[in-house]
Amino acid sequence: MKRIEAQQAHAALAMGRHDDRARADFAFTLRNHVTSRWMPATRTVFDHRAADEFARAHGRRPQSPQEIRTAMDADPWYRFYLSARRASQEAIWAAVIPPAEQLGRMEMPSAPRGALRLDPSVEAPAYVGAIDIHCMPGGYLADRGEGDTAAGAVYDRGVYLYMSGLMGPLNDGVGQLTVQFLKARMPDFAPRRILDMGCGVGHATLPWKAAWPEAEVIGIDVGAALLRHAHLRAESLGVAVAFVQANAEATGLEGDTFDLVTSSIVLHETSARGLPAILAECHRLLRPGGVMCHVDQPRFEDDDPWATFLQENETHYNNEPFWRRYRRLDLEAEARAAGFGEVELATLAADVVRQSQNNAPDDPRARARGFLALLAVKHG
Amino acid sequence: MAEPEGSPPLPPLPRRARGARPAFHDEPAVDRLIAMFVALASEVSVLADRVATLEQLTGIGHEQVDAHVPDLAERTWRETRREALVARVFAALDDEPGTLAGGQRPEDYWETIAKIERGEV
Repeated sequence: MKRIEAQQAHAALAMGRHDDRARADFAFTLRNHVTSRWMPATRTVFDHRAADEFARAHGRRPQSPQEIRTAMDADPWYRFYLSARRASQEAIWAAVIPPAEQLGRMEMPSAPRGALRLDPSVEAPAYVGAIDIHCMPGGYLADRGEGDTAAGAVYDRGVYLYMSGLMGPLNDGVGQLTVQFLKARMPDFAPRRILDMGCGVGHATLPWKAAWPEAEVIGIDVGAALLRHAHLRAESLGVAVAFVQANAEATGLEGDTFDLVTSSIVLHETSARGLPAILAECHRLLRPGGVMCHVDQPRFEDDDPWATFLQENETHYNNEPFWRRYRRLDLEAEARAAGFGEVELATLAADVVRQSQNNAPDDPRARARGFLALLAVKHG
Repeated sequence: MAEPEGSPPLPPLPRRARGARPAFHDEPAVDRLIAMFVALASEVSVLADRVATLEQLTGIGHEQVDAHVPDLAERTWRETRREALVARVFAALDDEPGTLAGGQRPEDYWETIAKIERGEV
């Protein structure tokens, strides 16, 4: 599953020259080949060989995600698949890093509509920088100082290629999905002040400004180079957003001042300690009646051990440290523990989720999968 | 591109994720070969695109291409380009020496996962 439409140009985007673009096109093709052809084939290998081999040794077929892993790890095709899949991930970064490096120091706009507020004293939580998440060399925190946007430029292109273009030309599919969900679920809601936590390069931040043009929209992240890129990108696209360097666990922003605090595919990159702190900070920041809405990967389903096994590979082989633990959390209980009284969970189905979890394209359960929205209201 | 005056040039970006790369095969050479093959396929694809671009833009035929002999300047430029190609295709061989030199072990990764899952960080 893929979308060929080119990524939308903007002043911060590092496309490089002909061969850089061709190299990225190849990484795109290979990535889609991995998810659309090889990933479904893992199930064939399991059904027709690996499960039988396991049964011969253990007297029964594998039941749990761990037993499926034991069975698959012994299979030669599967090992080759894992190795090639890892190489395909590295091919994405190998394609997009050189053009980002060629950018050099970028000049920030002199008369911006929005704002960029960097604060070198902000300390990033250890989980952000402990591992280069998604195997992106340098990680989110790489910062070479004034004018450096490379971490953002690399991420912006990398996400587009990794998601097979399914996030759309502006990589804003998740933000758009969340806006549509909230507008449908709460038709009378009209937030005046919106905070997007872990905004990265602002992919999911800009849709909030488009949805409520009168609202003040602030995006926070700990990565300075991500935020420079986000600022340059938003200004180039003509969207007035303030990007602020801050830690979502303790933003330093004034409490009781936001109508909406949100995040898009961020919580699974925190930690068992960080996540409750972030939810508590959301509660502190919201006005009474204010809304918290986080959208991220869905919970693992106990009765689908195959899907859990495949998804846990992200922690094993693609530097997703909190992924497998996050997807077993009771988010409703976490939100209540943070002080929220009214809490609900909703599934937002989308192509982009099916692509990244494309383990059985003809399985109706796989088709129904989507992001999980955690929606909560702060009582007065 | 847009270099503010007086600032020193930025250092190069890292090319590989930190930590030891997971092993998928008992014989490490297999993983290296797969990575090289992916890199090589990428280069072939880039070339095919470039040829297609040139044909589209110029309309030059096969006979002219066959008859062309590069002069010294062009030979020098092509050698530089091929050196870079070899470095990209065989980049997988750089991985292990880098890990060894950095003192990184595979178990460091799982110690970090455990800390994050236990909530120690």
